[in-house]
Amino acid sequence: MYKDRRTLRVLGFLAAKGLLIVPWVRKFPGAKLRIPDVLWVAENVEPRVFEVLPAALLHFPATFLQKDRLPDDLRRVLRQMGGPVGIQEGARGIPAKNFRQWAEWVLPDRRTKPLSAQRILTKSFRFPRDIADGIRQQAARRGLSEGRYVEMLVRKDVGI
Amino acid sequence: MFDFGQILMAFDLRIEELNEKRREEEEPPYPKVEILLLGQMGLFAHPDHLQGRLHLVGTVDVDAILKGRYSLTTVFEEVLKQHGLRYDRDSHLVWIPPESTRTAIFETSRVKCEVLDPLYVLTSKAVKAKEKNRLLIREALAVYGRELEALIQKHGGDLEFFGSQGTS
Repeated sequence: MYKDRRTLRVLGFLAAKGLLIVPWVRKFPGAKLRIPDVLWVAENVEPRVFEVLPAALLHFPATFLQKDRLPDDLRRVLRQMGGPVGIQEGARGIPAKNFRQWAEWVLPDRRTKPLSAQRILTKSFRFPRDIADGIRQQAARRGLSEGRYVEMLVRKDVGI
Repeated sequence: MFDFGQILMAFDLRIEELNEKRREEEEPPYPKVEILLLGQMGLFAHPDHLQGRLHLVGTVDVDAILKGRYSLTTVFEEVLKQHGLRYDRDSHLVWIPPESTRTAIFETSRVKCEVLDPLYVLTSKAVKAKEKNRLLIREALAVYGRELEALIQKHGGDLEFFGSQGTS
């Protein structure tokens, strides 16, 4: 099992990206991994792959093929990762906090960002001058940035 | 090979820098901090070089019990982070078999680090986290044999789960 090609590729990739420590495999940062192969390794060789898989899918989506083969419980974790309240439930005996911590972990690959940093998007809007002035004044009154003030209004309106 | 020694050297250097500042402010240096490495990182760091005999895999979590000033725990956490590792603040929850022995791997006037010996790390994993460590323990039973079997059995572990008949 340890010499299986799937094992060497999956663990080699996760080691290369700093999600696992695996001294006995060659790092394989450019691997393309089929989800069924990843699941096989997690089930038969190293269960810790389950723990870091959602974070790996989040940060390196293009690495993984056949994502439709992801089981429901891990798909749920991934979906909750991208949602407004974050990961609430664990899976496969792994607590939610473990999945959260790897999603927030700063990886050596500087092209990736922790989940909470990814949620900040830049938006530009055009407003009439009186609205723009109103935002600026009300934000200042509350000690908020204009962006935070608008966020507060939207959250109130949407109910989140 | 995974080398924890460079992390300990970096931690020691950081404490030395902090102690230098404390001397300038006429404060006493930090008392020596003691570290007990547990878990998978303990297996990686042990001088028995298990990396050659077992197929060790770990997340970047470090299970360690620190005895010393609380502020140095934060420093340790920062040093680990700089080396791509994460300090697990739940390390105190790791079960350590009462008869465990340990081996010193690093010591200066500022830091002493010991590592739980592999037999006891493996016993703890077999008894408290068997699903996560099934393949590792099966491999370890082939290396450590009856000594490990006896410890697992003594502490209520399920040897059959690892495909072993036990020592009875």
